[in-house]
Amino acid sequence: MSLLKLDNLCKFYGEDETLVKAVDSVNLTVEEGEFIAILGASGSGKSTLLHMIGCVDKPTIGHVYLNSQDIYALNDSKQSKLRRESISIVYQFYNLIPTLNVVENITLPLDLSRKKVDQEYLDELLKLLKLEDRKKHLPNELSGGEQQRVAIGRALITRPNIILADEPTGNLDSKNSLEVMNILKRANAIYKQTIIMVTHDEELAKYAKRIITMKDGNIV
Amino acid sequence: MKILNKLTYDYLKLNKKKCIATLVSIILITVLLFSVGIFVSTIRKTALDAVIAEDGTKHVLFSEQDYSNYSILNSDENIKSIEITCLIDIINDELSIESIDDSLWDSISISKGRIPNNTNEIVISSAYASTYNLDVSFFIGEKEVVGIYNNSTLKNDLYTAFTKEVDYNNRTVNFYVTYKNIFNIYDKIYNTADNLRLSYSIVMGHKSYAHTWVNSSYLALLGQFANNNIKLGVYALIFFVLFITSLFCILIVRNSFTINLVERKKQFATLRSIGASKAQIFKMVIIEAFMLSIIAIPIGIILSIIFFNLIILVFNNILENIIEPLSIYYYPSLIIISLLFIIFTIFTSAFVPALKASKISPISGIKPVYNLKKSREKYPLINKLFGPIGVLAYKNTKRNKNKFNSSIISMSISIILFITFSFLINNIVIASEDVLLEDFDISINIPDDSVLYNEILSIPEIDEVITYKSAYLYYDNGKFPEEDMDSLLLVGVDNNYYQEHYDNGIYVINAPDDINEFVLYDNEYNYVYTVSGFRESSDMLEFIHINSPVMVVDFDTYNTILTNYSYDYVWSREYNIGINTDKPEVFDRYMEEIINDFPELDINYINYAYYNYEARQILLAIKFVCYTIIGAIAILSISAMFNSLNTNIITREKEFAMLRSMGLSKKDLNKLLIYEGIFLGIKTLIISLIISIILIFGMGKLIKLLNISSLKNLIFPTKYVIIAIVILIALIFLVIMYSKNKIKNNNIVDAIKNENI
Ligand SMILES: Nc1ncnc2c1ncn2[C@@H]1O[C@H](COP(=O)(O)OP(=O)(O)OP(=O)(O)O)[C@@H](O)[C@H]1O
Ligand SMILES: [Mg+2]
Repeated sequence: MSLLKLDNLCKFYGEDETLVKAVDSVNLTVEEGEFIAILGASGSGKSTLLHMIGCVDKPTIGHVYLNSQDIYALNDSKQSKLRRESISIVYQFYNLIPTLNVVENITLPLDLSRKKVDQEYLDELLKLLKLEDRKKHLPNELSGGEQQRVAIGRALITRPNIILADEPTGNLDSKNSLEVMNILKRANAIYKQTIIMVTHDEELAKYAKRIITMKDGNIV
Repeated sequence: MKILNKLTYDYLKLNKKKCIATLVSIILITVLLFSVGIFVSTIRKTALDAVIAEDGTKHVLFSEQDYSNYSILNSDENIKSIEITCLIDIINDELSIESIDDSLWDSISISKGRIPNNTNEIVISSAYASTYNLDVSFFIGEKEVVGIYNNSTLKNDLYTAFTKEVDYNNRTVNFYVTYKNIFNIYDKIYNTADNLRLSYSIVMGHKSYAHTWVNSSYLALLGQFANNNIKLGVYALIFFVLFITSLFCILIVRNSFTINLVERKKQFATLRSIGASKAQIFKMVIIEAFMLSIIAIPIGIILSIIFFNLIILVFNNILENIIEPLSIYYYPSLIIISLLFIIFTIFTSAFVPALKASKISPISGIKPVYNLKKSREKYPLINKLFGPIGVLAYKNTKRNKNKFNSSIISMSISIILFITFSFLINNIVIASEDVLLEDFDISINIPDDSVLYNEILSIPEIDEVITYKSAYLYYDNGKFPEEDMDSLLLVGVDNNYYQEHYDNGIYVINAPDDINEFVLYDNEYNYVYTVSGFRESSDMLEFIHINSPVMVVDFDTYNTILTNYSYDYVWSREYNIGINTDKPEVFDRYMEEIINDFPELDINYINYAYYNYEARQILLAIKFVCYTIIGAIAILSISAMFNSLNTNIITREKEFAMLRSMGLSKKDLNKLLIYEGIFLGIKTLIISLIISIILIFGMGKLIKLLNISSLKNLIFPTKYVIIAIVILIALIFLVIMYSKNKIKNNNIVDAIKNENI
């Protein structure tokens, strides 16, 4: 049984002349513990696909099955639980809460599900993400790259089954990029977390075990 | 949950200015609702005090009953107490001696002397005492006066003296009955009356038993009514007023919540996308309402207490020496009800926005999902009138529908409320002026005598005088001589006054339908004159209470009609003189002399000056209360409008920063705001004026239907419509000037950076 199964997944915007097929009939199966990179030109539908997998954007047509369960058939509280505990997304635009500091932003998903923060793991993440000196900073006091790393921390803190990362290194220099990749790789290797990562960088894509290329909403 | 509280708290702390709008609206509605609570509480207490002083607290009186019926009442399990009075003697054919239960002495306030110890001692009313110059220790017949009472809440007249209780056996007595529980008391009273075998008739839709007096004013104030229709009417009225006020309050508060939440859409969406449930978001908003209430409600309560004390202070001052000063009373139950109502209003207001916030989709936080209508329209007219900035402004108002609509709604509600209330209150003030004020300070009614008339007009203190002459005549009703003729009051008015008020026709009120000309006769049935071509007029309300037809003509016509008929042939020929004067006391003295000079003539002289003074004070008090209400509504409306406009602009800081960063000059931005204001104002005015006019005509129809005669000539509140328009325009520009300073140059980068976090 596969972990994830995308069945004829479509996302359309607009109608008639303005119709945009952002994602068009995508079929894909993902096994537990895979590390997948999605490559593709800008506007090819990568982010849209990721959002649909991450249970935040309802498909126009088609289904997303997680452990054979259609996630968009679940009720809201089950969906919320899924987002809190099973799937994490690192957004292309980081979506941090401006009034919360770095640590509070990272631990937010745990707080939402009223879970205790694993202090050791948090410290480890902060160290890995090079955010130890920025713990009390608010998002607008951080650089773009630092904000991105906070978003990655927030995705990892719950140790989710699936990590979806939308250009997680888009704002980082090559050294930092490599370190983020190592974090993801480690998560994949040690914790058997399934990772789907969108990137423009073919070099970074090589970290993945499987590479998917998208064009005009389709997998090629 | 803690983290969500923190988020709310942070938001409130960081956005104090934006929250102040919500805070202010909660404070305002608290002031409004709490003041209503205190008002009702005070009025009820005042009314209850007055009713108890007059009628006491006994529920019902069964009079002239056989004492043997006592057992029937005693076995009635609804009854708490039965108290008895009994007529035992009548002295000098006029003074009733009533023996009363010892417990009933509470109902009689003895001003002098003491309570009788036996049936040879009595207390008499102070009115009776002063009529016959009686005092304590005087004897009336065998009975000794031991006390004088000035007031009793028992159902007796002033010719009643009270004495100690006697053995009631075999006597006819009166039972004062008090029930255990007032709930559905009329059914219990009817039940008791049936048991006493009393007969009843239906009066004004409810049972009215013989020998039964019900303390209905007292029971009404406790919420019990005999007539179900009245009960329904009272409750419907209360419900209607509560409904309107709460609707207004809910809309105001809801509006400020909505505007506040709109800009946090992204935050809620982000929380949703990392797994916050709908319930958690919902709770967040409700907790925000709670936090704001904790600050706002106490402030509102304190303000309304201060406000109400001020009103009562001024009110008592105006009516000093005219009525007993009112004192504020807080019924705990009413105060608690208004508090609950306030809390209910706030949370109802927060409920819908909270629900909306919880329904925000996660994806809308990841990338902005604007609810924009893509329109390719070019709006050539607006382009011509206002240029490209105008088009941008117009598109903004069209595309940001939610935000602008909530501003339009709250402003329209405010204007509608202001205009309709002004309409009602203005007409109430005018009607009470009509009812309360006598037209003249002095009214003199004399027989038709020119010497006397000239004497009166030569009094030097006259400022203004209007005379009308009147006489009764017969007119042919077509039945003479089989039956008598009918009579008509002919009124001649000062020529000048007549020309001002009646445009030279002959006017008649109360004319029989089948008569189109009046053939007039004197009291010997000699033909006098024929009047045809008269008109009906509604402008003669001062004669409406006269049953016969009243014909109004000018002096010339009056004299023509009556030239050949001496006083003896036309009965009740009179002069009515209305005079205004600054010195009513001096006038009194002149009139006294004149009355002495003409002892044989019947002179009816009434000085209304003091009455008019009192009436003017009462009117002033009515106006004061009414205009305070209008003022309060205006303040509430203005702040609601200011709130929604200001928040609308403040929450678009980022949008403006973007526009600025793309090269829109400060001047252009101002233009944009002003144009938006213009479009907003025009839309608001159109909506609110149309609805107000419909409501006003509806109310006018309703008042006509209810046939409230004193509210016959309703006046359209043109003045207040203009005031509303001016306030709206001034406010829009004020807000734009006020908030444009908030959008500063150096904010551009900050605002844009924030957008992408
Ligand atoms: N709300 C929307 N309305 C209309 N079209 C949209 C909307 N959102 C996305 N699109 C279109 O869908 C397509 C796919 O968008 P998506 O964001 O998935 O691209 P992407 O592959 O992530 O691009 P990038 O590499 O630039 O991030 C694009 O052509 C975009 O214009
Ligand atoms: Mg993308």
